[in-house]
Amino acid sequence: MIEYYLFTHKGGRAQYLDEVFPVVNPELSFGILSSAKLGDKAALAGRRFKEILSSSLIELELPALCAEIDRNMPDNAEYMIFRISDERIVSLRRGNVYGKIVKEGELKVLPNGVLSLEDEDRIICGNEEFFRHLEDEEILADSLFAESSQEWMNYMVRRISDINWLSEGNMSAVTLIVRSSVVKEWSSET
Amino acid sequence: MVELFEIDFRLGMAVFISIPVFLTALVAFFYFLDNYFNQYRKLFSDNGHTDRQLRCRIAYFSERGARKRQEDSYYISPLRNASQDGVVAVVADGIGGLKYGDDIAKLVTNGVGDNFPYVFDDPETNSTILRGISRNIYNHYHLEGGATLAMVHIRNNYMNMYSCGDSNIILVRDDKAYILNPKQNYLSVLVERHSSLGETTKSAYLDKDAKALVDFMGNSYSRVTRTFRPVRLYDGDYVIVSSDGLTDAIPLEKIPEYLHKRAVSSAERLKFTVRSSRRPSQDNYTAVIIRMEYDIV
Repeated sequence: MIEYYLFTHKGGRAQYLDEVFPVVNPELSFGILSSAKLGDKAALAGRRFKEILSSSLIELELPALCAEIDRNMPDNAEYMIFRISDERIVSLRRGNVYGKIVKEGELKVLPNGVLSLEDEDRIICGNEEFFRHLEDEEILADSLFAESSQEWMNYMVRRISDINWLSEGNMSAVTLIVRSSVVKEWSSET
Repeated sequence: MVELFEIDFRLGMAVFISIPVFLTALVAFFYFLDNYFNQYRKLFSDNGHTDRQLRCRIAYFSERGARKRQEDSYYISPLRNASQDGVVAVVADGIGGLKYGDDIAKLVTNGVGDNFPYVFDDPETNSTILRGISRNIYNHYHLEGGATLAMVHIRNNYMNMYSCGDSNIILVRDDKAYILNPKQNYLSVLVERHSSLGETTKSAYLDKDAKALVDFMGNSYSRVTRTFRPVRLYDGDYVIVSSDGLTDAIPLEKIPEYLHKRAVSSAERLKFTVRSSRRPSQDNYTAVIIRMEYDIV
């Protein structure tokens, strides 16, 4: 089972123009589009991105899907697509949308391609604006302290907020935790 | 006479030329040696894959600041069996303004000490033990006081962390300082609320209750957060477990400037910097400073 939590925030901008789009067809897939470099084409690009991911094209292999997205999007579109299951993650990205993975208590950059997953592996994917004020040591510590994907996200958002009050650009991110067993519930009872 | 002068002149010139040549050769030789052994230095330096054990060099200070009472307390586990049991360092900061802050901070650190050694690979059980300490405090004091807890358990190059409240576990690596533990104060609640509504969070920082703790040792059902897996430590890392009196006086980003190659001198620098700042509202300040380094052997 994959537990995930999405975070989208317009920052100090008038509108939220990024896209974070989860799809289950046939595997759990995510698309993250950054609007940072799209200017006035952002809204249109966001719609097209969503349309592609909602269509039957989502069943294509990732390289073919990305080629289709590239054909329909502005040249400077920055995005990341990944599919995830209990056993593996397959990801492809363009530009400054990227992911990091916590494995065995260490943080690594999520590579393009296939990576095998194990129970309790934790993944964060997001746009550059989200990662701008986060250090690897902080992301790692937050992931290891967090009981859930939402809590992990909240810890990181608090850190970003401490620096910029969430008042800069659009932020988009998703935290994911591989739970091969039933989700453990935290209890405060002693 | 002229021949004698020429011989002396040649001798002088030979000496004059040979000295810099000799010095240059010497420098080149040492440069070669340095490069040659550099590969072995790299081999033995910490790249995260060596089995060499790091040692903890520990120093601490605990000062009253401008307060009438010392409401901070600390505990450092015995080092004699550190390779097996690890090293535990904890700082508890009694909640100011409540009656029994100092007593409760001591109860927290004494409780941690009484339960030592802890099983390094079972942070869930250790967290339960810490919640038990908190529950005992609640049963005795019924919210008439409380204390924060920041605790690290270091063994074999890895560190587990436990936290309740807003004391600090700071990692200093490559001259940058990071607070590793989450803060359980009202500000976190406000930021979460504003961010979920898509709002900016400036107003949260202006809230008069922003720093109020939402959880602490001695709360009815306190939550002791803990790392479910340990963090890897590296040669030269500093881990600082401290009350907020330290970070109130020295901004986090400035802390690396005061750290030296020795834990003791680093602790002295930090302590004297806070002391000499003479802040009229200086809170109690306590810190356990742990430098991770390879043993010579």
